[in-house]
Amino acid sequence: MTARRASTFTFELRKLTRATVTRVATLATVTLVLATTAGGYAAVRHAPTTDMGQKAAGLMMTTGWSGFTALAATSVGITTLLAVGIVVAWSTGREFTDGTVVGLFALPASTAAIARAKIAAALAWMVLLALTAAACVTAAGLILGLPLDGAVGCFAKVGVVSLLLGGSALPVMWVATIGRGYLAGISAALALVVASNLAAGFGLGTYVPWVLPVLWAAPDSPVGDGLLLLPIAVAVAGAALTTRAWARLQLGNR
Amino acid sequence: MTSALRLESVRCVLRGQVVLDGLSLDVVPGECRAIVGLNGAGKTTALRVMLEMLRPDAGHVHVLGQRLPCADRRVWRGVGHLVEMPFSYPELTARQNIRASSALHAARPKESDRRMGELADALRFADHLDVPVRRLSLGTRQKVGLAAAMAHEPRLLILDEPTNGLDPLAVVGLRDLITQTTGSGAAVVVTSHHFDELARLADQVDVLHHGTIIESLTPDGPDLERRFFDTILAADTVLAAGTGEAP
Repeated sequence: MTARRASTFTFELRKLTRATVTRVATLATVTLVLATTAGGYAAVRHAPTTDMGQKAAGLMMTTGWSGFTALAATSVGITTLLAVGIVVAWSTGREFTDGTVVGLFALPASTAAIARAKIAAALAWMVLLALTAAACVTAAGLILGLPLDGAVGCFAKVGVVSLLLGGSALPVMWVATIGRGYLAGISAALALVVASNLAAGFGLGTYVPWVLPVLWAAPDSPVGDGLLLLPIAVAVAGAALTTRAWARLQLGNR
Repeated sequence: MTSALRLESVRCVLRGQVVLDGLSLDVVPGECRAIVGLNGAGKTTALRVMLEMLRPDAGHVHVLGQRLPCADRRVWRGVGHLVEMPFSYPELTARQNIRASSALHAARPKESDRRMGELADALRFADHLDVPVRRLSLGTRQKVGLAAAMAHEPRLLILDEPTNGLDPLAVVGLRDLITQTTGSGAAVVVTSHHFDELARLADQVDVLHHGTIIESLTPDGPDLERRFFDTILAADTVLAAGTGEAP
């Protein structure tokens, strides 16, 4: 990494990690995933006739690690998509909303390089978030009495789902750039979450990149590994569009 | 002498309206040049064009001898600016902001840290260096932005309304810093509405009106503000005579 790239990446990572929105999103994601997964599994085991127990059983489809992983994937999927969407919308859009974007011009690093640094910093945080969520959920499964055998599989699947759905939120950065503010990006993130849930509810999830990773994690899933390339393609497209928009960025022309 | 900043017949049309109309400007090293104008005269657009935030429709901009857009972005190491909004992210401390700006300009950390201390003393905010910017007043944020623009010791410094929110002692400190900056051979471009400040700071005051420089005033003559308004009125009278409207 050149010194110029290192300084822009360090700067973007520092802004991201010091921001309240990132800290709240991290804490909320881990807490919600843990509470819904562990709570749902405990309800299935100990209170199967309750509403929560019946709903959770419907999401698990089977007992043991495979059912627990499916429940965790559903929870981590929707939570990560929303949390990452909000954070990346903020990290990009705040430069326009707060007016700080002027300080990112007239630098040895181009605006495209600044955008790449923002994306890299967001990806670094997403990896950390995915590992933390997966580790917490797996630990909860072990505490709830699931055997050690199968724990690594749960950790890997939940981590992959979290990372893929986090990455597939990257187009939100482009929307925040085009919309010149974080509200545009946050609106896009909310739209993605709502549309994905509706698609899943109507049984169209296998056609939607933001649903595929959750379906893939379910027991006896019809979604093969190859289809996971779709959310990866969305992430790459989001990163490319964002970088292109920043490379062409001008102020005061609209 | 090579210009630190040169604008050649720059024209800029935004949303169908001509904002810069053949703007030419030549600022040499060691000079402090002020640009004054009424609201809507084109000052902000001119500064954006100088800093590659906006590409002109016609004309050329040269920064430190290189024509924009620069093939070699290293030229921006030698440029500092505070335009519209100070470089002050609320989640970072004042020190972290200034260090980040210096790092982004590829300055040596040791030297920019030394300079940061000098700037904080001159602008009287050394006690606030380790305070998160979100807790600082608007005036202190402006000081952080000024230090961020100057800590890497630029050869071309562009400041938009630099005394905004500053207390009188900090204004005196800023004046000394700009004098030091030009004394070291750097060029400074400044916009302001405070004519008494400009009279003390600038070597030359350019009057921007309807997107072009219509007059260059010497700051040491009598009543700069009066001469500015006379210049504007004369230009509008000529324009009105041409269009048949009252000035």
